[in-house]
Amino acid sequence: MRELLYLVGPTPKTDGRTRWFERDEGDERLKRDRASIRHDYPDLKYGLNHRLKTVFLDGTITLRAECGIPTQIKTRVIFGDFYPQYEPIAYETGNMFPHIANRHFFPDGRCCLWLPVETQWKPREATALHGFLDQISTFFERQLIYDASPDKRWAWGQRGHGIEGYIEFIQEELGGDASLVDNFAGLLSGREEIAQNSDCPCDSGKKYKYCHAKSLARLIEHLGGENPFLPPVESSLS
Amino acid sequence: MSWNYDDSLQRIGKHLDSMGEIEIEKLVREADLETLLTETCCREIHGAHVYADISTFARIATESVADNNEYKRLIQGVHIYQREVSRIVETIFGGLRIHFQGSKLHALFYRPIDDTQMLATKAFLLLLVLKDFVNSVFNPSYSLLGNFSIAGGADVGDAIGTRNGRRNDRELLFLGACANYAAKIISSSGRLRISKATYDALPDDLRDLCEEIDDDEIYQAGSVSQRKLDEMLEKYEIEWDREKSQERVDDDKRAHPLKDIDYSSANELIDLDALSIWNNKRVLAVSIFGDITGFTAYIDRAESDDEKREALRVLHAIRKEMATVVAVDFNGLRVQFQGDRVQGLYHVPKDEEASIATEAVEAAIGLQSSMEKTIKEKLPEAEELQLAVGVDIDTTLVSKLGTRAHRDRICLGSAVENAAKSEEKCSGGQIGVSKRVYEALPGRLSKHFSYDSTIGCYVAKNLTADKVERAEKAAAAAGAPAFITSNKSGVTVTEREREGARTIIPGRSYAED
Repeated sequence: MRELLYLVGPTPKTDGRTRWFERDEGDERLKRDRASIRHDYPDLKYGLNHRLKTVFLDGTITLRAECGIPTQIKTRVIFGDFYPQYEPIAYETGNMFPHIANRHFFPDGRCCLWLPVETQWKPREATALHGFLDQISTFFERQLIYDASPDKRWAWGQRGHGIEGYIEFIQEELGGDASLVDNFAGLLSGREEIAQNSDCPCDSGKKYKYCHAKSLARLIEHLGGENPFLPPVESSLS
Repeated sequence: MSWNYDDSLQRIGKHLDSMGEIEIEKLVREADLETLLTETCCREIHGAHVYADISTFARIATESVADNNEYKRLIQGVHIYQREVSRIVETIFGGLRIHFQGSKLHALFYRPIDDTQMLATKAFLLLLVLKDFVNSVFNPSYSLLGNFSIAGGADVGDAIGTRNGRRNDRELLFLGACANYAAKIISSSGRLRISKATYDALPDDLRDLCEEIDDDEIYQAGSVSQRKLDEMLEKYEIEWDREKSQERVDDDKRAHPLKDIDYSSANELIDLDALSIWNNKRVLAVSIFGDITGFTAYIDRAESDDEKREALRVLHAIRKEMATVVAVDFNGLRVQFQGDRVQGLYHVPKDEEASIATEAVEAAIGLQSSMEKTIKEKLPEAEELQLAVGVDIDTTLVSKLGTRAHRDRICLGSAVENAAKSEEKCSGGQIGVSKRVYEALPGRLSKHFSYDSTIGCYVAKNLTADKVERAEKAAAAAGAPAFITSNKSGVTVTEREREGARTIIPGRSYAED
């Protein structure tokens, strides 16, 4: 594996712990990822930050308009400790776009590709990284579209900031308008319970078990810790 | 028709590779510039540049009703005016008639070499003679067309003379502040204006005929009687005789009778070189002017021979690329090079205003794309240069008029004048289009333009082909697929399905508060 990487920073003293890429399956994954992106993303090179023991991809993604004009975007993709179970993190490192929330960036250039609950990351797929880079390319293309469009539109849709984005997502999942989310707020937060034979809170007139019961259960499971209706976790430190 | 980055890059490279070494020397002896100058054989020429214009020709060319003798009379009048003015410049004054830009003459005096006073004298007297000719000869001969007045400008200084390379339509090009300034100081009020440098070089008796008009150090000719003019012409040994001028005009009128002058519309792209006094075109056309802003300052700043050679290499690369964009990438006519500016015309499909306007504005965007994306990639030294483009549409007379040896491609009409004016008012990187062009454009193009009251037209800034293309993708809806293709030169993301493309559903971008 190590010959695949170039090294950044001084060689660290090992603490004896192993990172994902130091395990056999990680080594295999890295080789497979590298092979999958070599052709379509030749200007992204693997690197290893020895101090942080982090593997990353660094270089440029060149977006070509159909007329052929190229735009080079400096990009870094960092693979965290829990890769590939958790998706990598993408950064725009050339300050080509304003790193502000309205442009879906954190101040450090991290790309807000999607709501965590709507992740397009498919860890088990052999071409997961390639698909992820395609999503990053599309994200950057949308930045260029935004800059080029006189009415400043964000192509292919976006979510509201913060909790608004989650509410939009929940609303779409429940299939209704904003009032529907209010009707289910108590159930989503876990503060209320409802009998299966009761009328569904959506006011459809159907019994809950024949209406939203299953979809709400799936939604709550899917949201997990990202559920905005859950009460904030209190710190155990006093 | 469309603009393509790879094609543009390739042809610029090919032109640069084949250009050969540019030679620039000071012109130290009298020579025939028509045969001496080439794309690579260039001369620094000390001279007096003169522009003289009858802008009313353009208005008549647009407003005259077709199937009317007035239109034929206009064609005849412009033709005969150009012939006699050319004779006055070349035969009587010994100057060089560079060309007519529509109705505007550009002439140069460079003989006797480096004799600034004589060059300025000839330039100033030429303006006076042309004014007298229009008043005393041309207007009485063409009273049915109107009462014309001539506006003129002159400046003296150094400019670099060169030529474009095409075999069949080679044109002399002069680059330098004086070649521009003489045109810039022309007023719309029919006055004859000269620069301070020209005024300073004049002998006292001619200076006495001028008055300073404002703080811009511009002088203009006062009222000069025919007697005074004749006296000055005699003193400076210029043998112009208004009666002989009248005879030549009368001879020309007989030789070019209205009944033999023909004009028609055009269903296909006009072959400019097939036009003549006998065969003219009257078409609904878009005029487009593209000018390299900052080029005059760029070449005037060049001090060493290497810097001058570099500036000329840049000019020729841009010039040729502009002509190719106008005529090859888009279905237009490259009418003329005017120093560092190119004039183009779009007129097909016949009378289809929206299509013609769209093609021309796409070409304007193509010009900006070449300038910003490919010229600067091939020639980093051109980084500071930009392009200003002006566009307008209206009925236009298209012809090739003048004396046998020097027939110029002529486009006359209000749209030609307005497009040129818009270009002059635009800054580098801007495209200025008239209200009529703006309203003829499809939304995908018009949305990039907004009205600029200081320029007086609709303006788009830094608009290149990739931006137009991307703005069209902005309508892609949430949940719709994106299509991705890759090759060694990059990744292309579109909202339309493409052969061999990968399909993804783009994530809906999100931001934490």
